[in-house]
Amino acid sequence: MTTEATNAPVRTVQAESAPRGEATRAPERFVTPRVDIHETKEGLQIAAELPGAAKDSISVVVNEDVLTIEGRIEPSWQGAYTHREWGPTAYFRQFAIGERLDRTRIHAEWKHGVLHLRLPFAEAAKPRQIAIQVA
Amino acid sequence: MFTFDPFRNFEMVRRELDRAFEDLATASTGRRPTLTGMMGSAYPLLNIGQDNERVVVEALVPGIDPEKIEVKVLGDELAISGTLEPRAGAEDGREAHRRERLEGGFLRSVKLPAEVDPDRVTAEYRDGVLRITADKTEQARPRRIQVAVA
Repeated sequence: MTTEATNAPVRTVQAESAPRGEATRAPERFVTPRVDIHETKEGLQIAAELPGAAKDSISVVVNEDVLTIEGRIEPSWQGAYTHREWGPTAYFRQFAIGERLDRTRIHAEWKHGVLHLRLPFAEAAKPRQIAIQVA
Repeated sequence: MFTFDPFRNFEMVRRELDRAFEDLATASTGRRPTLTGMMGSAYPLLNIGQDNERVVVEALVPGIDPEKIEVKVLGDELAISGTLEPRAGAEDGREAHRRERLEGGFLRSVKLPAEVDPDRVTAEYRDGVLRITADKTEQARPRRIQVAVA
């Protein structure tokens, strides 16, 4: 069902474009935020989990048809750890967004470690009711 | 003759869905590293730190109403529990393309590096991190021994 694949408004960009060990842009290791993506009549809603990232470290960038979400966990406790399961790291994830979405009107909200994005459909992509003229 | 095999049919449907929402990063690199994926099924992920006076626990619990988190302390045992509310889906007219975020109840209990005073435990929630600070009991604090000069 390739038609479904092309119609899916968001898909993850190939790993080649993501920073790897040798990339200069983000040389450190990164983790992938977990996301929920829902579609409504108005557009897409993306909820990405970036727990531990401070709001100022989070960036949402749209470049051509690629949406990039980044964030960073900075160390908080200055003392010694006796047990450690997570630590300073970077969050990184990219999505290809189709031309159905209006990339100039993306709304972002940060709450409880979750980044909520609303990407409205471009006007042209919304279903439109055509008024029928009486001849 | 055509025979209908419901399981085979189901398999086909499942594969088509996978392809429709194919994640190319997953396809080429295998499992992508998520923070919660790294440690198996333990939830929430947590760090435990200490200094002379206190024990600090930092747990990653994104997207929860802080009122729904319960923290219990007894001696050197700490338990964190709560519920990640199911998020609205198809019933409110939304179509899901990805559902990776976790839902449901969780409980995790850990042994702390020292006994703490249950009356002197504070918890704060910020940017999806639950940070619990507990004062050690007097007995659990390291004591400096004066060396007497003979």
